[in-house]
Amino acid sequence: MTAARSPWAFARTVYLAAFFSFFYVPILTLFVLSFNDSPVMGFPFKTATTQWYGEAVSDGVLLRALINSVQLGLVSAAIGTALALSAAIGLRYRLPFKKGVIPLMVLPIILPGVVTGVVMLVFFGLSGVSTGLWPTTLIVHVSWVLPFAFLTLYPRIHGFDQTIEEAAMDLGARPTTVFLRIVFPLIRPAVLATFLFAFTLSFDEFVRTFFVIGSQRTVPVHLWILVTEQVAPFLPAVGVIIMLATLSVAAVGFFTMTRASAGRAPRAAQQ
Amino acid sequence: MNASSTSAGAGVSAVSVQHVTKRFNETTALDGVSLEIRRGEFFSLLGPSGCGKTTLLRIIGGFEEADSGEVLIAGRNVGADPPYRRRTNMIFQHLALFPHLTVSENIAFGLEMKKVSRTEIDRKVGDILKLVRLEDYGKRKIDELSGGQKQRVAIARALVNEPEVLLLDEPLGALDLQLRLQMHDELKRIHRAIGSTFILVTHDQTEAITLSDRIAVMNAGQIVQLGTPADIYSRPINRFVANFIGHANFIDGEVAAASENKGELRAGGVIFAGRTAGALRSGQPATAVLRYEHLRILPASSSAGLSAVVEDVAFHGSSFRVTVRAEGGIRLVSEIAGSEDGVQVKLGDAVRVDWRPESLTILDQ
Repeated sequence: MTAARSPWAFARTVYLAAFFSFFYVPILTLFVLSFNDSPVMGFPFKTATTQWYGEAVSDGVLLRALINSVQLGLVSAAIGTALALSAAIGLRYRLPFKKGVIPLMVLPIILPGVVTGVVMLVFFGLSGVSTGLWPTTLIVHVSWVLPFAFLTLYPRIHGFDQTIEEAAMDLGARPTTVFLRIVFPLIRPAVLATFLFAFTLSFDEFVRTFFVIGSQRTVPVHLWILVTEQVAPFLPAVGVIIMLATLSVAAVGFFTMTRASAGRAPRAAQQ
Repeated sequence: MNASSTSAGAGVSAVSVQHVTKRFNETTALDGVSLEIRRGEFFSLLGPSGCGKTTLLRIIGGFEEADSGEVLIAGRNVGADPPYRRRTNMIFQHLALFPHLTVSENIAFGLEMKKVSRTEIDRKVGDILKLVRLEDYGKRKIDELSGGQKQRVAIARALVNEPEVLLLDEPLGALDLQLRLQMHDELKRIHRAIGSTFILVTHDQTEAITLSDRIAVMNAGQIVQLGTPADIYSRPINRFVANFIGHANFIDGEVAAASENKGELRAGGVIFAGRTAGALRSGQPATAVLRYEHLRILPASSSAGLSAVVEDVAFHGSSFRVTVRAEGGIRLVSEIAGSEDGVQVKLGDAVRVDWRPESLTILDQ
């Protein structure tokens, strides 16, 4: 039996190795290149240097773009999460056209970014709003993160045990108090995770942003301009920094979300 | 049984339900239900699932609104008042404790909503924890408690608000038998200690019988019979009630004779004498109801009752169920207390069976 399986086992190992190499070798290459002491981005690898990290952090335009990206990420994640939360709560009640609301909320995910970008640019042009970080890019980012935020929050709200709210009301709490004292504390981890998720989505967004940001820059926009318009040997170093930063935000989000689902266990245990 | 109704507020029911009807889409959950629940009473709404009992409780608590009819709590029409404006508190079927708060914080919640002072809250929470025997558990998280302890937290969280009426929505349904019996004692003790009105929804007839001062048996959105447990047990008004509470023999036949409240039923050529429920006339089809434990088994040498042959003997823990085939081919079940030596009859024995006419009820079919 072991003998019969071994050719398959070998094939499987090769397949898995190829699969993951395809994913991760380019990223590894980026990591290696970021330490390559060569003025042109690329191989061969000469000697190791940390020079590019130094240049990356001292690039004033990049720093400005980073500040823009972080601000934009925080504001659009906050607005997106708040809107998604109220939409998810609203959907618990009887609404006209309730069945149509969820597809409409989620539709922007499947619209091609180029299309959204162009359409938004035209729309802002017609309405006479000048492009820039605020408000055009913010509006585009909110509409980009909102469906994702909704998709992460909706199941949590939808699955919330309504008798817990009834119990609070029974004990004299008005609807606002019920939300602030009972519902929100219980869903807080999910809300936080959603916020972080939305932040990384906004931080990484390029295509839509590129159309509506005017002359200003976010980090992805800045990197694109660097790549296309000048030789930027420190680009891999910037890539590594951003990757690590994004990963750590995502990790925090993941762990809060795990804690959130662990927090639901006691409810089931009450039965 | 109902001494407290003579105290303050005599004459005013704790809860008065008047012609309440409630529909959910096509189904009628409550069909013109009227009910007076006295102050200090332990009242049960008993019935199979879907009979409307929970809907009625939720209307009293303010979680559902009646389509028509009125609900008065302590004489005041509560109309469409939301739950937070009613002097009722509910113990939910799945308890609905707040998982992010401690035991004390759960119990204090209602008092905080009423803006009771901190020192007063601490005192009341301490008192109620003592009442439900959880003095040392105040700082525990809800998920650190056992099922029975959670139950008691739920009771304390409702009772600490000193509600006019405590509503209990099958809160013991999820517990195992042992714990449920223990909680029955606990509930009775607490009801006696507090003296407020309890309304319990249950489908468990034993629970209703042990706990209640009065029971309303419900079916298909209506109250079928209302009375004390003893009343309902020994004088069921129809086959549904007789079937739902306790175990009984049903003997179908026709009325052979009927006077004011005594009668005879003929089935399989045999006459069953008993009392009648409602007006019956000779010759009409009717059913005799005889509880298992009211059918006595006598030696064959006895002259009373009917002759019968034992067909089955089944051990039921504290009792035995003896199935016999009596004269006229009628199969009857008798429940007799077990003794250390076991039961005196065995399969195939010839015996006689007998009952007191007061314990056999003849009902209109």
